[in-house]
Amino acid sequence: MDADGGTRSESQFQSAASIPPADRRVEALGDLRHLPDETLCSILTYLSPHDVGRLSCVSSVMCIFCNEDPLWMTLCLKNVNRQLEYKGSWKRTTLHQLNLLTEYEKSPGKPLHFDGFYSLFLYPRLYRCYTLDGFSFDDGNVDRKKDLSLQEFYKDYDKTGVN
Amino acid sequence: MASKGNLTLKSCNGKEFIVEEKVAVMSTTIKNMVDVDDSFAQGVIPIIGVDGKILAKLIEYCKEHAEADEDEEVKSEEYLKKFDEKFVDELNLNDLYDLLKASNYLEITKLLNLLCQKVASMIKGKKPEEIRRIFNIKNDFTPEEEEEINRQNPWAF
Repeated sequence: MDADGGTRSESQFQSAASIPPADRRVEALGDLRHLPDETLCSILTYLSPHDVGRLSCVSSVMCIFCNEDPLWMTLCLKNVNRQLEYKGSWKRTTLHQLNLLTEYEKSPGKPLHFDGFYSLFLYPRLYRCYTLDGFSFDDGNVDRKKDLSLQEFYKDYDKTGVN
Repeated sequence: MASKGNLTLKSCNGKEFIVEEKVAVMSTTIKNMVDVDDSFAQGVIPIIGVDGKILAKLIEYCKEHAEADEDEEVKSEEYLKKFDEKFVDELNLNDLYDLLKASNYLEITKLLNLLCQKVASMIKGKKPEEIRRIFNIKNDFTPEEEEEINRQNPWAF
């Protein structure tokens, strides 16, 4: 039993070595770890899409911040130069706008996942991006009316007006 | 005790600054405190987590901008632009981070934006290795992760 216990603790030790740090922030953000997440997000909005792409190669936490879709929406809307064609995500939409989407998709990769990072600021933004599809998406289930008068709108649609 | 129209701000290491109200309320946080509770306007406002050196810098910035908002002739847009440039150029990195935290906490939006742009300018056009060096960031990717991330981002180089 002793020997058995010994091997177990040894294997536990080995797996502990491959477990990521409890908080990646310190190493992966360096001096910038002192800044609140919302400030870090504001800094990134002043970068170009190319800068954000290079920054995402710096470390795991930078990679998370740089692939956040609200960031890409801001970058995209800053440089709208023609009619937008939404491509399924704001990052893809932005790269499409810059004629980089083909190059970006030449090497489709698997999404990277990093344990050991938490952010109370990023999480609600992520949550809103990916959980409201069923509510916000109009796939033809909304009535189409032409020349609707205000009275008709109140009568047929504005339920708060009903006593 | 501050005279009427002035506020007293106290840093976390006990330094007191008497500033005009129009200067202090450039900070939305302080403005909200004063608006909600009149006793703040009479007494001392503690600025938690901000030391005297950083608070002095914040006040210097707010003073120039408050005066410019009041009198555009004396402090023109061009004057302010030059002031802003000099202000950020003279900061060392530690002060830059401390000011960023403080202006975020005190909600001094103009200054926060200016400082964010400064940090962004330190990232712009740089390679990952250079960015790591500037900010003391460790490359914490596993070899597999690094290979994957480099494969996904050639468009950015």
